[in-house]
Amino acid sequence: MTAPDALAAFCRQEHPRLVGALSLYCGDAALAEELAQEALYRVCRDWSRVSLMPAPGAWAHRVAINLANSAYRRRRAERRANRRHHDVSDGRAAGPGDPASSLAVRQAVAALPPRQRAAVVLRHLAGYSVAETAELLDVTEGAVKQLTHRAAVALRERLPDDDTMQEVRDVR
Amino acid sequence: MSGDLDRILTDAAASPSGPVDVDALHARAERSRRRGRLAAGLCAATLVVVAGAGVLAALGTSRVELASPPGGAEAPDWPLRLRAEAVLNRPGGTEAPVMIEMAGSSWSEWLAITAHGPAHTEVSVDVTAAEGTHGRFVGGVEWVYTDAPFTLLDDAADVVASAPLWDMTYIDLWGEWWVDYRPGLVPHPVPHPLLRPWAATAAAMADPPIERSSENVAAVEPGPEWDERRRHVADQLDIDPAALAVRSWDTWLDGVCPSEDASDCRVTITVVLLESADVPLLVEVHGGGGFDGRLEVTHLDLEEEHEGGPGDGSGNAPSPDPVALVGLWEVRDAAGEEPGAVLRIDLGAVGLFRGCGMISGGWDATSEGMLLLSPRSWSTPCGRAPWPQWLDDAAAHRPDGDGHVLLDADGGVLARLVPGEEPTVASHLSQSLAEPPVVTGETRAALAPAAPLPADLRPAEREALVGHWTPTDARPASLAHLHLQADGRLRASDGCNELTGRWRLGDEGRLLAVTMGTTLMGCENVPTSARIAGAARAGLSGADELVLLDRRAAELGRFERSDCQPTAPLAQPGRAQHFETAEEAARSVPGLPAGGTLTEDGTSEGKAAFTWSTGGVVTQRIYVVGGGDRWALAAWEHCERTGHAD
Repeated sequence: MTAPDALAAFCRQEHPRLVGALSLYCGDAALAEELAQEALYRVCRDWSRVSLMPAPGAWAHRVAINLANSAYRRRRAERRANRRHHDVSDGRAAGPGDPASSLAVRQAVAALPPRQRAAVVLRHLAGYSVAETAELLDVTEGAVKQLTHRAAVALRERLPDDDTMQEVRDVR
Repeated sequence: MSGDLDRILTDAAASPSGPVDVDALHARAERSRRRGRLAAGLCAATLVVVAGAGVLAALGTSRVELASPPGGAEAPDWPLRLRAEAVLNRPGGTEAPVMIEMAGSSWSEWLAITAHGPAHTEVSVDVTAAEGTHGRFVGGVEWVYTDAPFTLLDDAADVVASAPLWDMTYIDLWGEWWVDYRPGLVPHPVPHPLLRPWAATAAAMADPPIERSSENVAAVEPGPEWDERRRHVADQLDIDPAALAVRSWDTWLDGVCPSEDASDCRVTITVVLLESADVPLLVEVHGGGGFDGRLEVTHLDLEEEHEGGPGDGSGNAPSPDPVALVGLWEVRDAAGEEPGAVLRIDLGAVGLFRGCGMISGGWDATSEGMLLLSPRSWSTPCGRAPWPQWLDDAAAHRPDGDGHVLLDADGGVLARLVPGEEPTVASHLSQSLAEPPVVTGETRAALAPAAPLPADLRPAEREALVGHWTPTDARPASLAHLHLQADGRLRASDGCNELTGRWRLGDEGRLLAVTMGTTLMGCENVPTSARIAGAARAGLSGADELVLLDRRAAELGRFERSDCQPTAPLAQPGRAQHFETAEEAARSVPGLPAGGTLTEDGTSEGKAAFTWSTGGVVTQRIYVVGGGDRWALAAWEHCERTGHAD
């Protein structure tokens, strides 16, 4: 069964963006791929409605973040269950071939509080404006600015003190 | 924008390991839609009992008996509604009773939920069936995907949690639901889209994964991993493992109909283990509707943590919880406060115990951290005006270890509250005044979060709220009013009873109002006092109409800005003097500016109101009482030009 052209084009365009954003949000590249697939499945399932939205990409990102939050909660439960069965699993893992700096950044981002993490990923990776990010996260624009500022400060403190991070500035 | 941060994040973000197979996703979506249509064709189903009667006795669980439609099992009378009483588990482990309503228009939609709730709300639900029997299941609500508002109601049908109307969220719910079938149920006014939240959730959780399809309902043979899990669950529940039916995931949509006769259709219950039992055990049961069977449920607790998301979430701070303020607290670090002072916070009342006695007041707070306290009375030995400044200035609360910190409007710490012991009260007081308060369902309901403003109202801003308001449903010439002062004080009248208090406005029109008592004259009146005391949100409608709403976002009353913004409470004449006409009585106000115009502003039986204008600006509002040819001046108020008093 072949997907409609518009749907296919949308999914191919959004797929790398979702994987990238989720990899930072979850700190887990493999989980990010899984969740991106699920988010795009939901796009396909509701395409007749999503295609009419003014910003279907934003919808997909929002679904992706929701899925990530859900997945975290379930994996936390599973980890507890697995520990009982003496099977320690770590939900977060580096992808194959990840440079150490990328892993450090992902872990630093993953350590942020959820709303800060979502704000900084949506603003600085997915490229949404302050207003769009506010709508995605259902907060005020002022809150978005505050969240991203705090996230940037926290990242500066957490990441290695190398030339790269010395260039981190406060966000607008 | 920090281009460097963009680059750093872009460099760190993972790339897909391969292209997305859109055709496969599309095909999966098509299968899902086909199953929904199949399910819609099911006319009746019978629940398969999960556990035998003997096992039930051992468990001591509650039975939920589904009400049967008249005439036995037959096609349901759509739409259906389910009401489930629930307990909302909040951050910090506190609970609030809630009620969840669900409705559906078809088999595929009966899982749709109407509820308002914040994201990541987890609930455990007591379900009340038609006969009043109860069961409980444990589930969760994470996000809402619906065109309808999502509301969690408490057992008083007050909204304890809500989320705004979205069309781009989705619900992720798991748990077990029953249908409370009663003929003639009023259909829910809002249509609900198809939701299959826990089916998707369960599929994601399946280990081993089970493909959802209509072929595997009866054929699924849980693998050894599931046998082990079933034994584990059974051990924890102390039941026969064979009594747990572990089948496929969402069989309610993949019902098996052996024949064309719909009465043969069966829907099987599935049990899914999500957690081990030495931590709160979450048993997820998927079921379908049925009208002539019984369904066993067991009570299981939810995990206690509610905050966080992917990652450590190490930056998460506990959220303010007004219910957690209830208790006995030793006051520390409060400027000018007596060492050893104890603050007792109970529903609607706060008492500060010092050596001299007790200083009491009212309070209210929000889960966003807003706080308002207002004095009411005090023991005479404590002096003339002992209400401390630190309580007066307290504008916010925040959890701090086992206690709380009270903060001023600028975030400065005013006082620390640490768990305290019951104080020994002054000899003239009853020791019962200092007993530790108890958090009840009423407490939780009174301090529950407020539903958001309806979409047709704008959140009131503080500057716009300051002023003098008259109820739109007040009779002409009524003295009923609401006066919100810029210094945070308020005055209100229902027409003859006066009330004072304090008010504070937060984001999105969140209003705190603590009242300090009223006179108790009996008269036909507008319940202004009740309206302001019960208000949780203040919205503006149209050009300048104030709407007060309670926690459920139910409208309490509407007010229009008065053309007179009084500079002081009503003045009254020292002695009664009678006049032949109402106008003459009105003109008897002492000190009326010369050259003004008297204009009648409404009459009702025995009353009349006038305004006195000078240069086109209302400078006095005048109330007279009487009738026929015998009128007297009742009261008047001086008005400011700008419309903002004090």
